Amino acid sequence: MSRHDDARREGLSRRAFLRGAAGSGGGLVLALWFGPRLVARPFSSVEGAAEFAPNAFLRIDGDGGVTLLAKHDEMGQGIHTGLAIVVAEELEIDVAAIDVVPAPSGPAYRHSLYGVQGTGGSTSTWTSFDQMRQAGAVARTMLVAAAAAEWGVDAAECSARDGKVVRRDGSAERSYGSLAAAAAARPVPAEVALKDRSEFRRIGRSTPRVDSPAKVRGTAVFSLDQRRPGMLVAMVERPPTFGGSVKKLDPDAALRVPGVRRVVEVESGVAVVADGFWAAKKGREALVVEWNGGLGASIDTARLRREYTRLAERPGRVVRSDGDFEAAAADADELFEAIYEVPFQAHAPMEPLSCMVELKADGGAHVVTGSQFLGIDHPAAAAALGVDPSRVTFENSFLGGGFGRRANPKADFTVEAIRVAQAVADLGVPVKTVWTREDDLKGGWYRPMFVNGVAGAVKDGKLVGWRHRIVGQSIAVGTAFEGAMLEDGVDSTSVEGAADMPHGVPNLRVELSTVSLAVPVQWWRSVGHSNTAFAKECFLDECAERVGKDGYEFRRELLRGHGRLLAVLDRAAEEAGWTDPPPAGVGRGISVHESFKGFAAHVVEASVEDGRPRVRRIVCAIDCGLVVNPDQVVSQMQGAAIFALSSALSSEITFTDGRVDQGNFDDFPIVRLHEAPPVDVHIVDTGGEMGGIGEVGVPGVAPALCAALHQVTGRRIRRLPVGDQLRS
Amino acid sequence: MPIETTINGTAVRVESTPDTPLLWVLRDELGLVGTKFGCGRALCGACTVHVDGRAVRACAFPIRYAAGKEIRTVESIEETEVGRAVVEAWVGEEVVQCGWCQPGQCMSAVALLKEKPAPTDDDVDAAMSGNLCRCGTYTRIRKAIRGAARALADREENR
Ligand code: FES
Ligand code: FES
Repeated sequence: MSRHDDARREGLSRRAFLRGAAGSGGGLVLALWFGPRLVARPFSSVEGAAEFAPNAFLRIDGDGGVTLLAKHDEMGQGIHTGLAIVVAEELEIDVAAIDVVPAPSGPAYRHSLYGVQGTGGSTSTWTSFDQMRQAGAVARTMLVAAAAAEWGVDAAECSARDGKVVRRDGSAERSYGSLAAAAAARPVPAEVALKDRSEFRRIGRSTPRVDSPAKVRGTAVFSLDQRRPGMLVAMVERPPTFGGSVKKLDPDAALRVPGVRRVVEVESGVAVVADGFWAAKKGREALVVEWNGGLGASIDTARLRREYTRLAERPGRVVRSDGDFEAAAADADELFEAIYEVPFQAHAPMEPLSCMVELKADGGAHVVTGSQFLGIDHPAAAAALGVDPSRVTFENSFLGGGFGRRANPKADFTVEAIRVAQAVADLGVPVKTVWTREDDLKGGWYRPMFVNGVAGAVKDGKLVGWRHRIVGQSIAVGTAFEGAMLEDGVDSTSVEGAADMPHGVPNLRVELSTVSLAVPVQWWRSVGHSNTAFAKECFLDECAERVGKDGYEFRRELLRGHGRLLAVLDRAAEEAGWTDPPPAGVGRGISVHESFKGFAAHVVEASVEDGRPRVRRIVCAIDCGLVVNPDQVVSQMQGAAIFALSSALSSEITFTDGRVDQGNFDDFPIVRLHEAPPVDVHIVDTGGEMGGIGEVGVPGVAPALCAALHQVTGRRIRRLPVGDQLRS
Repeated sequence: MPIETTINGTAVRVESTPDTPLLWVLRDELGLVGTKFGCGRALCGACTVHVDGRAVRACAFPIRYAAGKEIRTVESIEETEVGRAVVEAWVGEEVVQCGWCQPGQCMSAVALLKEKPAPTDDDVDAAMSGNLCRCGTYTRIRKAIRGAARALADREENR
């Protein structure tokens, strides 16, 4: 158990009397005893001077407490633990002795690759690995130097181990805490020696997550759990169609709901500000609003599918061209094409979005949130307030899932919360703007819908030509990332996984048609790969069938020379028993794909019962280079497989007359426990560079599933989700 | 009319409007935020609590029905032996990812194990299929429930 959790235990074992806020219309609690540790607490404060703060990441107190300020946000991927392991390796301390807290917003916590503070792109471990080692090594070096000075010996005669500095001759030892003040007085070394990888004792070993106990006991604090004295809760009614706006508002009925304080118009809609969630929700239901439809009022999924498909039949902008596809096609024995479609997809993090804003007298604000992107939220909040960013402070929480949604390129839920707080600034209290599940699913910022037209040319039993046309919106256009993500008008995330396919096809062409639409879109776990890998791997399976080859062997031949892809492909096939036939009535499909510098292969076994797919088993092999915490790599691959399965089997966002058809988990079904297959994960280390993990396990699941379904039904599923396509 | 109920062993008087779901009384009025919100329509299980020992979705349980009832939330999960075993198994199996669904998962698991100390796979399916996990921790949830059941059986034997 972490020290953090202990502190909570202790701090809360007293009697706590709670009172409803005076004048709260929603209800008044008289007095009540909650018993031990029953009230969640925020993270321990990192403000105030620690005894020893060698860098922006570490604080060591006189009592020996070690705090790590995590530059990456913990949204389930285990990064708080991962960063702690890396620091602990160099600091020579037990991982469980480190209290990990989210870093505030600040330049020291900028993403080493992106330049803005944030968490995404499956980059946290590999981009922060050396920096965290360095942070730990600097602290260790200074502590050792402090002890050596005190003992009047050379630092080389001392070493660090288990939170102590010891004299090599065994004659003396000092705890880090007792050395903190002396270490703080020493100069920060410019260069420190890092351990050799062969000396790693923590990196590479499965280590318990530092956040598990608090999360299981319900004491971990997420954004939606944040409370402050006098805080009000706001809920925003947004236009039912994208680009819509308020035409007429009658707030009277809403204002009559007990507990509702205000109804205000903000940029994004109409906010109901109330004493609590329930009053806000009842108030919002009582609103009478007439809307202007706006640009998105005519969006209709059936029509979009037709239009996108028409575009996929025409040439797009050429993104890659090897050889001459047209010539190869003209000369081919066989030329065949297929259309693959993926719908808009919502992230649906289990914890709906929220953001609390406390306005300050100087025009600034303190923002308490659950964000993957403080580096974007912070300047956006300052701009919305019209103040210098130095007047705005941010406090992050645990994130109840993110999957990209909480890294909004336009800081949508942050700016909205600021606007709401500004609209009721005269009340002088913190306001937490909360989203319901319906708000989340209807609120946009989806993975874009895509249609792919893929063509293959076969000559003498060999795949000689490949053309992949991609049609969809760009997630970069219109955001601050346009410059970085767009090259010659091509959004790299629209074509990733296709334009860089490594397969040995001599005549290979990738084209993109970028569509502009009023639906707000953004990155969704595995981004463009969630589309391109589906089209690419499914079509490879069709090609294999055409040339009469097994899907595994066919890929092996096309990937000759690509050691890491082959290694995971072989491993997955071997662990799944590829060469033995599957049980009767069960199909087996395979896929292999590189994304985010990680390499993953999947074998999926599925049958069909009453026209519905039943997934029996998923075997996954992953190569992400050097592994920090193997059990968490396994956990991420297991979770990614289930996440991917939901979108492959059942979940989608569709539009009718501009309105989103889905609203909650009844019509946006995600995989439930009884539908979840076991997921066997095998880590492969080929000695390659470190790479991504969290997203790498997503792209390959859907195509392997569809190959398995084809094997049992003879039918090709070319549109996700599978839904009831096998019923008809 | 105030509603009198018992929460985690303590008598409580609540003056919320009677249709207010128990979830929001817990979270907004009592500050018991361990019980989570995921859907508001009894579709996800994040808000699972025990009412007279049975797993109930607090988001769809108007506070008026709580009158005279015994309510337990995750905040008191470790006050029973089954609860302690479940927490231990959950931590031991490293079930947690983002964690938002997990208090609800654990409360459902405790209710199951109290009723069926040796649940079959079908029992687990039936008891747990109402608890969604977007992070996809199901493989480990299954394992943790089996582990908790085993630990409780062992303890029983050694008594
Ligand atoms: S919040 Fe109650 S079941 Fe989802
Ligand atoms: S652990 Fe994230 S939803 Fe279950």
